[in-house]
Amino acid sequence: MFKKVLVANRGEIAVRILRACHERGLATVAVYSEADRTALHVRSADEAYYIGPAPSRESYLRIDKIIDVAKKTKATAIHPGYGFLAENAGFARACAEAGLVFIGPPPEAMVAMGDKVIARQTVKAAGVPVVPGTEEGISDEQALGAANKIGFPLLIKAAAGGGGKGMRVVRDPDELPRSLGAARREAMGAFGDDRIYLEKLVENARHIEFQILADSQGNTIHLGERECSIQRRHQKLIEEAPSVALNEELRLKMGELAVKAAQAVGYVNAGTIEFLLDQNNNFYFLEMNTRLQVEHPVTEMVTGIDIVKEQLRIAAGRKLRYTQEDVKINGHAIECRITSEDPFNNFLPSSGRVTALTDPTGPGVRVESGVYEGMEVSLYYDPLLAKLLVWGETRAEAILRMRRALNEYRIIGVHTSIPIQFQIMNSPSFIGGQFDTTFLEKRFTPSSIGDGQYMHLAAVVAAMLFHERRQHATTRIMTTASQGPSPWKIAGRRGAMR
Amino acid sequence: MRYHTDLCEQTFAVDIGPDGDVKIGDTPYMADLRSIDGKALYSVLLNDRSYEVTVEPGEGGLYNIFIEGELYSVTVLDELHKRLQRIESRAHGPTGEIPVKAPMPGLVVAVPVEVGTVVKAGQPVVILEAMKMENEIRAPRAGTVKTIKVTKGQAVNKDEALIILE
Repeated sequence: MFKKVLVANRGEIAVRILRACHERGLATVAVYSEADRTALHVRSADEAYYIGPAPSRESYLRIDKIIDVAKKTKATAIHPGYGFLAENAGFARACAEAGLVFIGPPPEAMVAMGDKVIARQTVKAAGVPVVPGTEEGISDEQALGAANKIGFPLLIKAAAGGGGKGMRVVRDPDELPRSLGAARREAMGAFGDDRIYLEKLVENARHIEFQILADSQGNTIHLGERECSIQRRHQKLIEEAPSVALNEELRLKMGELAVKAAQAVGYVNAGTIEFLLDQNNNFYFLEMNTRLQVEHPVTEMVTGIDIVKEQLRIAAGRKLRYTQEDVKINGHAIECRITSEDPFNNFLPSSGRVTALTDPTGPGVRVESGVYEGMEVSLYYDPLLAKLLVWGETRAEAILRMRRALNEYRIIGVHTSIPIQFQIMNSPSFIGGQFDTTFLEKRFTPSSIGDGQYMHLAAVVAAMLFHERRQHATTRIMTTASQGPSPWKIAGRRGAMR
Repeated sequence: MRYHTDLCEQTFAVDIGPDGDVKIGDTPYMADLRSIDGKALYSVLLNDRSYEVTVEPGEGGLYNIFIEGELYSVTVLDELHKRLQRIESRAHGPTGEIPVKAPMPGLVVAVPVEVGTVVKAGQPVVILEAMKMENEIRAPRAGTVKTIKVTKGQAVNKDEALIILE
């Protein structure tokens, strides 16, 4: 086994990987950009090296610099996390050429799954159903022609894509030219590649994915499914396992096909097979994510398997410690992705200093966080601040626990997604398991004030703060006043003595 | 002391007494408000019920109050300003120029309007890229584009005026 691991990522996932390494007694190396000198991953690693300015293409995407750091520090393996270079076959090859172990799949498997056309052909040949669509890299004229054949609504997707970037839903043929432009620009900005392709939009579908683990000796298993239908602009907001939509029979069938899809490209290490599941239990292969997923802890909580540690073992050439029969789903887990976005203002990204932070704790709660009190949240990177996970014996217990934990979470200084996730936990369709990927658009209206039960409380708080501020303004000359207890404390004490 | 609080399209008169006794209209409350972090987080005991709220003060007596996944935007006015406001709103209708500001720093990737374009409320007027996502900046209300202050490819700061509507 290698002795020292370089983590080529930042934020909560870098911290997650560092923890797994430290638990296995491995030395760790972090890399950081100008914006991240005091980030949590730098503080958590044994060593940390500067690799460039804040924009990711000048730092976290610089293959040459990252490999230089690995050589300099004598790290023998690199974990790419998710995003950045995680699905870049060129990076995996560069690692191999430099004699470094890339903790992920072989570059050939990455290429086969990264090219959506090859991926579809390969898994189709293995007997896995796929969604109708076009080749990638088509011109706008070809897209306009193909769109009529596929039919509306359809999806424009970035060939190099993932994570919803460069993706657009088109319902009306007239919208197609404008959406093509937007998708290409976004894809160019995110991946440096503006090739796109079209795909039929399977309506009222759920997004169900299977976690795969495969070793280099040909053993491939799945760790059950994750339900990831609660999405906004194709960015997942809430994930859970198991899915209420699957019965044992369907789980068995989808799981077997997921394993076949992974085997079809000679997959090794952790990966995820994504399916769309319609209301009639038809399912289609969507794509394979050839990396560790953001939501992997959901599976860890219901299976008890530490996926990152398994990745390290697999990369070291060890055999899987589990057979398919060993994998048992116990209880229910839910994850909320806590992002720095303002749900009351069209989810606009929010930046600033985190002036106060209290993570939820208590039974069944897990927080995977990249923030700390005093940290500056910049706009350079993904808005994911942290992941809040809960486990419960049943789905109902997990939902109640998530409500409780969200209510304990205090992140002051930036706007976060917490209010909307709290509201979703109270939504009858979510509680009833009645939802699909259009839930946030169609069945759920984020409401700033709900039923307005706290109107009086809000009015009182605002009036008292306004009053206090005015009193301060008019009595500023009496400087001693600010050193004594606040008038409200005195008032409260007096009130309590009545 | 009497204040007028506007929230959820309603106005509540709030009387603040000297001892933490507060009245909303005719409903009396005992209120005890304590700062937890010296900035934004408060513990409130309202008639002995315990709440925790986060407060974000804005301009002109605006307080954004976050309570259990809900956001209450409350504007507080004292008696004098309330009266001034009534006189003003009678004198002028809701007209004039409105700047559309950047809600965050970012890169302008497109400006889908021109000077003179008549826009509806909610119509996208600038596409701003931040955090690798394109964000549509929309017109806060209907109007005509009077000035465009940014061009494609330009980096803008938070609160920078992008477009002036009239």
